[in-house]
This record gives sequence, C-alpha cells and structure tokens, in this order.
Amino acid sequence: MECLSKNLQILFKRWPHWQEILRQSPARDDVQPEQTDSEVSLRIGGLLLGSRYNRWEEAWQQASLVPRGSEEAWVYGSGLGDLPRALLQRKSLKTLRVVVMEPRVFQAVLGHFDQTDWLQDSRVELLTPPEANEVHHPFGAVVPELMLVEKVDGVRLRDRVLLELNTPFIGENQGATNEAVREQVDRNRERVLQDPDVMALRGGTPDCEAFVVGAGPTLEAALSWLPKAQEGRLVVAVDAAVRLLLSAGVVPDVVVAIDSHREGILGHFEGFPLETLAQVPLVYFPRVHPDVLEAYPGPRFVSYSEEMVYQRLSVEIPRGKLFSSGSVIHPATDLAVQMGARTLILVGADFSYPGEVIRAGDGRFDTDHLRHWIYNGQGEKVPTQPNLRGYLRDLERYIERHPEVSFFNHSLDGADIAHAPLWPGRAQ
Amino acid sequence: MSINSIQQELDLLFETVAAFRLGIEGMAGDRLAQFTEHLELLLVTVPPARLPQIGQVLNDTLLAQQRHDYVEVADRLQYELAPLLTRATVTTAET
Repeated sequence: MECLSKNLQILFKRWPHWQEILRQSPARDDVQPEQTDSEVSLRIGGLLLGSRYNRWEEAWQQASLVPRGSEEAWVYGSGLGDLPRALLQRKSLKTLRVVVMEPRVFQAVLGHFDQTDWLQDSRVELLTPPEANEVHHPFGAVVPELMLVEKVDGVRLRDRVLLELNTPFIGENQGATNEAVREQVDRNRERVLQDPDVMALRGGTPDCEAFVVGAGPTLEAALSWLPKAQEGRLVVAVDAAVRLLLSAGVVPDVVVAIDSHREGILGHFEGFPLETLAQVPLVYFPRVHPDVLEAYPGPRFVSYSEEMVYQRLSVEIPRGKLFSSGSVIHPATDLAVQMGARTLILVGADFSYPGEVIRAGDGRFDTDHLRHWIYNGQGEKVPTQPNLRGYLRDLERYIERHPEVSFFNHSLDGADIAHAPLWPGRAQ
Repeated sequence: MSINSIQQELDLLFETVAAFRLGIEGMAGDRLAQFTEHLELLLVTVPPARLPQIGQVLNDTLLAQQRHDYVEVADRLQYELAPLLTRATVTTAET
C-alpha cells in the first residue's frame, strides 16, 4: 500500500486527470507476482509483463529499438517501468512520451512496484489513448501490455504499434516471394503496354454514392438489399465478391484484382457465364496471373501501387497508382474515391471472422485457436489474424486522409472501422 | 553435428528470444520454427537423461506461445532451454 500511495502522489501531482482515469478503471483480480531467485515480475491476465529472470536486460533490448543519441522517443506500454527507465538513462534524451496503453495494468503495477523514479523525471510526458492515437518514431514497446488492452481507442493504437513492429519482417519476407511476383509482372509487360491506364476511369462518376464490396462474411446478409440499393450508385467489387454478387443479381460496375495466385483468383470467376462481365472493367495490378487476365472477358485497366516490384515497369510504362497496403479492399476503395465517390459504403469489409466464417459463402470453422481479436461494431470481440488487423488499420488511416468523403459501414457484425459509422441507408 | 552448426543453432535461439521480447511476432514464430526444425540434430548430442527436462521446457514454451505469453516464451528459451543445450555443447566439444 505504501508503494501505491507513493506512486499515486507523484502521478496525481504531475497529471491530476489521472485521478479520474483510475477512478474509471476497476482493479484487476488476475494479478500475480512471479518470482525467481533473481527477479520479481508480474503476471496479469495470464501474461508475464516482464522477464522473471532479468528485467533489466530485457528492457535494454527493448530500448535498442530507439537509436542512441535520439532526443525524443515514445514508449507504448509502461510495463513494469523498466523500459522508460532504460531510456531515461540516456543523457541525450530530452523528451520521453510514455503511452500507458491499459490503465488497469498500470494501476496493478503501481500497486506492486515503485515507479516514482521515472514518473518524476521532468522529461517524461504521460499519455493514454486517444490522446496518443498514432505510432511515432523512434519508439519502444512493452508488448504484453498491448496484449492486455481492452478499450476501443487502445485497441486501435495497439494494432498500429504491432503492425509497425512487424513491418520490417513483413518486408523481409516479401523479398523472398517477390522474385516469383517479379516474373509474373514481367510476363504481363505486353498486356500492361496495351491495356489502358486506370486513370482513364478517374472522375468518371463525380460526386456519386458508391458501394465498395469485399468478400467478408457480412456480404451474405447484404445480398438481400443490395440489388435494390445498387440503383443509382457505383458498385466497385473485389474479385472474390463477384460470384456472390452475380448470384444475387448485382452486376458490379468495376471489379478489382491484385492477387498473384492463379487458382485462387480464377476460381472467383467460375460458376457463372463469364459474358455477364463482358462490359464490366477489371482494374488489376500487374502481379495478377496472366491466365486470369486472359480469361477475363471485359475491358482491362492497369494500375500500379507503391510496391517496389512495379518500380522498373512504371518508369518504362507509366500508369496511375492506387492505394494498397496488402488488401484488395484498399485499391477498390481508392478507385471508388478517385472515380468520384463522395459517399462510400463499405460492404463485406470485415477484416475478421464474424460468425466463425472466413469469407462470404464459406461454411463455419473453428476459431478457438485464434488469439488475435478486434472489436466489431457491436463492441464484441471477433477473432481475426494479424494481417487482417493490419489491413483494417491501414484502411482507417486512408479514411483519415480523405475527409472529403463520407465513409460508412453496412454492418455492425464485422470490424468496427474508425470514421465509418453504420450506414443509415441500410434501414431503407 | 559440428561445433559451428551448434553455435549457429544457438545464435538462432537467441535471435528467436530477441524477437519474442520485442514483440515481432512474425519473426519470432518464423525463427522458432526454424530452430525447432534443426533441434533434433542438436538433441542427439544431449545425454538421454536430460531429454525429459528439455521436452518439458519445450512443451511449456509451446503452451506459452499459444496463449501469446511472449515474455514467458523468451524466458523459457533463454534461461531454461539454452542452459540445457549449452551444457550439451560443452559435452560435445569434450568428446
């Protein structure tokens, strides 16, 4: 208790609003000290918050992400206080912004360990989400605290931090598969030369309302009202959504394909007469398999993204670019905006597995083993995968960059997408 | 197994530990998979009496990984598994 009271004295003196934050944060009942001969740590919610063998060595390792000589740094998750301490040892550091990701975890730590040393360091600024809502560099993170975040704003920042931590490795991995993709891009060179630029579609439907249709599980529920709602609205569909849309009598205005896999994409165009799409443009990235492009019956328009794999070709054959950060929903959304959408309704953009379904039209599968989750629009946790979570947060960043467009979500059952409230037109 | 290979395997282990402590989940899982793929080669140098203990540590590590208890994974690998394997490498060098 003495430890807690000393900590709170410093905390409330420097940041009085923390009294209210802690008042609204009920104490956790799943906090357990764990001790070895050399160290004491805390286990919270079943997760070790710091090494129970050598916390200081661990903190130095986490601090190594911040280059020596940095004058400013961020810490996401105060943990047991070791990471802030390790960074504050650097005389060059002038400002350390510590983001307490989960107040209930912080409260538990305050009750077990003296945090007064770093709390009273004048270089420290203490923040919580949503005061801090983006990842700033350079930064370090206490990932166990991120895993214990519960509040919505904290969850969004959690995912952005985890995405930033993993981005270098994702890039390293893509280098390995890029050789095969590069070959495919080279094979499509002639087609890219012949096919018109995606920018020819730009502004084609000024000030329109648009549906951007993904293949997430919630698409199935939308099929009952989409045929009528489509009238007078632009429909941009990802390739994986086409078959289901056509089965409901919805012919999209544009289809977008970016995936390089042959069988997976060709499969999206099976089970219906292909001539149905004879007038429907396909917007594609040059990584798409040549057989898919050959099979597509309608006009094709080529686009690049910022990916390095297109750099050489884009100098030789200039074409427009669409935003993409790994999910086909990204360029589909950007295309709709560039075509002129000022109201954009996301359909089937779930980035998760609501109802334990992977994709619209699939059966259920066991999601018990999936530990990653996001909130849906109902405030419930839904299982997801790290890549889907990353796609969601990158889409939210895209939305933030386009205040001129009103974004909506057609369903509350898939991902809660920031700045995309439930579409009021759904009730009509 | 040569001393160089043993050292490479141990370097991979510590790379794995670092990735878990830093929360680089993708790298951590990838490196752990690589490490366990070659671990069998290292285990043939271990005195059989030590194998049950190593097996228990590996089992506890896997359970911790499944619940995303990354610090626990790192601790198990660095402070429980590595010493067992390192004593094995000394034995190998001596033979």
